Amino acid sequence: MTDLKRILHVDDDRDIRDIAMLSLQHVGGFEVLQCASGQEAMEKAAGFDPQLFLFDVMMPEMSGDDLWAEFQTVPALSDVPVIFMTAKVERQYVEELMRKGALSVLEKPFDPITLSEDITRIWNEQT
Amino acid sequence: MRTLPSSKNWSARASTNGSGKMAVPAMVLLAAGGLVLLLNPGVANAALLSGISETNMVMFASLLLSSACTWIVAHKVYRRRILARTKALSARMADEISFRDMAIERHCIVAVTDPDGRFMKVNDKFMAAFGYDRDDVIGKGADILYPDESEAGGDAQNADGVVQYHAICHMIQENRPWSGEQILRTADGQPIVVASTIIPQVDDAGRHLCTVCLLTDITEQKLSGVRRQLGNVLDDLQDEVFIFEVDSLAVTYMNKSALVRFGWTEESAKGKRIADTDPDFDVALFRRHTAPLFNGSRDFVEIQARHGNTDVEIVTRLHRDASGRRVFLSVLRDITGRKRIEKVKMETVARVSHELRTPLTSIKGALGLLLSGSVGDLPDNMLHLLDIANRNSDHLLTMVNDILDLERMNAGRMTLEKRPENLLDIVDETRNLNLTFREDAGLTTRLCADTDQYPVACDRSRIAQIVINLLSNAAKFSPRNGVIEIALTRHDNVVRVSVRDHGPGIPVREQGKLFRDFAQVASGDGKTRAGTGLGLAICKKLVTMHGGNIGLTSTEGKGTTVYFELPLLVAGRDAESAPQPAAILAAPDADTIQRAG
Repeated sequence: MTDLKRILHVDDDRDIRDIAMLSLQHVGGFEVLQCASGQEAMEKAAGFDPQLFLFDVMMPEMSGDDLWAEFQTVPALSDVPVIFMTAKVERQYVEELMRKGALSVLEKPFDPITLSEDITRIWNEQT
Repeated sequence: MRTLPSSKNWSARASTNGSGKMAVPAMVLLAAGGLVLLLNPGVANAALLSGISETNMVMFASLLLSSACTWIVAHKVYRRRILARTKALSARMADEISFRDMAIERHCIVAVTDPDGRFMKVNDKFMAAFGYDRDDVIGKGADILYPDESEAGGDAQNADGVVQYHAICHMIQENRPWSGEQILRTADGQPIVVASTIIPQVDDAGRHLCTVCLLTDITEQKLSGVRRQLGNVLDDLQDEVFIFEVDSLAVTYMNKSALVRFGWTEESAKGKRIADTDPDFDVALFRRHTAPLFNGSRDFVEIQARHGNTDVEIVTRLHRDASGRRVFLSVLRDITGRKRIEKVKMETVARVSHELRTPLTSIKGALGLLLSGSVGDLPDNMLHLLDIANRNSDHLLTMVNDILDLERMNAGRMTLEKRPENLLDIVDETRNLNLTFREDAGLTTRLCADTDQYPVACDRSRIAQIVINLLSNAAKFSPRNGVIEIALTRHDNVVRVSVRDHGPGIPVREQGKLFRDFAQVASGDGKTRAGTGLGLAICKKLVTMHGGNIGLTSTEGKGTTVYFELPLLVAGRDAESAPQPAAILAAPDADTIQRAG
C-alpha cells in the first residue's frame, strides 16, 4: 500500500473548504486540490492525479455520488477510491453510499484536528 | 228469684254497652212482673176482684214472661257478636301497628333523639348504614352524622351540610317536622345520601319529648343516576374509554366510540379481554408499562401506538369501581391529525437542523483549529473565549442531532443494530467518558451493580446515548461537587439501570410531562434548566425500541431517580449469543465501584 499524499477535495461551501485545507494540508501534510463543484473537479482532476477523492455529497448541480460515478467512467481515475463527507447522517443513507463502493462516509461537522488521522487510518485499512 | 243475681251481674256487665243499657232492666222488670202474677196469690186475687178472669191473667203473665226470656236470649246473642267483632277489630289493629313498626324497622333507618339531640335509640338499619355500634352512638349528639364545621372550609358540600344541620335544629326547637335530602357521614367518614323525615314528639302541654328520625339510604339511587348521566357523557365522547380488570384484563365497560370502532355491541363485548382489541397486544409489555401505577411512582402511564391507519395515544390509570375494586381505566385518543401536524413540523425542523450542520461544520472546524494551536499560539484570555464558543457550538450540535434523531424515530426511520452486550460494560464505559458537564460541576459518579453480568440485546451506541443523557440531566440538577449514583439491578428477566441525583427533585404535577417531546419542566426549586426538552423523549423512544421501559421517582428536596429497564437475554435460549465477562470494572478512577452478589 503506497502512502497517501494527494487528495482531491470537492465541497461547494467555501468555509468548509478552508477548514478542510488547513486540516489536511497544515495538520495532515497532504497535497490537496480543492474544487467548488463537480464540473470544476472533472476539469482539473486528470492533471492532479489524485490518490483519493474526498467529496461532499449534497452539492448543487452534481452530487458527490454522481460525481464519483462520472469519474468511474474515466479510465485514468476509475480506480481512485472515494470518501464522502455529509451532514445527512441517516444510517440508510450512509449504507447506500457504502453499497455504492465508498471507502467510508465521514459525518459533518468533522473534527479538523483528527480528520487527517481518520483519513490515513481509512486509507491504510482498505484491502 | 235465683235468676236475679245472675241477671243483675250480667246486666252490670252489659251496662258497659250503650245499646243494651235501657233494654235489659226493662226485660228483667217484665219477667219479674210475670212471675209475680203467676206465683203471688195476693196479686191474683186482686186481679180477680177487679173483674179480670184468671185465664186472661195467666195468659198475660205468661206473655210477659216469655217476652222477657226472648229479649234476654236475643240480647245475649247480640252481645256475643258485638264482643267478637270488637275483639277481631282490636286484633287487626294490633297487627297493623305491629306490621307498620316492622315495615319501618325493616325498610327505614330509625333513630330517636332526646330534646338535646342525643341518640336515645337506633335500629339495626341505622347501624348497618352508618357503620356504628349501638353503644357508639347512644348518648352521643346527632351532629356526629354531619360534616365537622372545621372541615367545611373550602368544601362547598360540607358547608351546605353544616348549614342544613343548623336549619333542622331550628325547626325541631319550634316543634316543627322537617323533610328533605341530606348528605351525612358514616363512621369512616364516607358520604351517605339519605331521604329524611324528622318529627319532634310533644306531650299534651307542648313539651318536646323526643325526635323521631326516619331515614332512607338513597346513595345508590343517586349514584346510579350519576352513573347513567356519566355513561351518557362518556358515550358522547370521541375518545374511546375502556375499563378492565387488573388481573384477568377482562373488559367490564366500553363506551360507544370504542364499541363502534370494533363493531361490537354491549352484549357482544361481554367476556372480551383487552388483548382482544389488538392482535399485537403484548400482555407482558402491558404489565411492564403499567407497573409504575402499582408502586405509586406514576398516577398514569401513556403510550402511543398505531391501530390500522390511525395513530392513537392511550392513557391508562388505576381506578376504583363502585364496589371498591381496582380496575384499569384506559382512554384511547385518535391523534392522527395531531401526528400529521407534528410530522410536518418535525420535517421542517429537521430540514432546518440539517442545514445548520453545514455552518456548524465551519464554526466547529475553525474553533477546533484555533484551540489546537495548529495555526499558532494564542493568549490565554483569547483561548478562554474560544473555549466558550466551542462548548456552545457543541451544545448547538447536540440539539441539532437530538432534533434529527427525534424526527427519524417519529417517522419510523431509525433502525437499531442490536447485538448481545453486557449492559454493565456500556454503562461503565459511558460514565468514564470525558464528560465536560461532570467535570465542570465537580461531580462524582458512583456505580453499584448486584452482579457483573447483564446480558442484553442492544444497540451499543444508542444505549450509551441514553446513559449520557441521564447522566447529563442528573448533573444539571445536582448540587456542586455532588454525587450521581448509578445502580444496576436484576429483577427476574429484567435489568434496571437507575441514575440518581441529590438535587431539588421534580414536583409530581411536572413528572408526567418529562418524557414528552420538547418538554420543559420546573424542578422542585422552581427553576427550569437549559435544554431542548428532547433528551428524555428520545431516551423513552430508544428504550421502547429495545422492548424496555423508562420511568422516574422523585421527591422534592431530596432528588430524582430516572431508570430504564431492558429485558435480559435468557440463559440457555440465548446462551451462545451472550457476551463474555468483561474486565472493565477494574478501570481505576476517582469514582467508587461497588459490587455485590
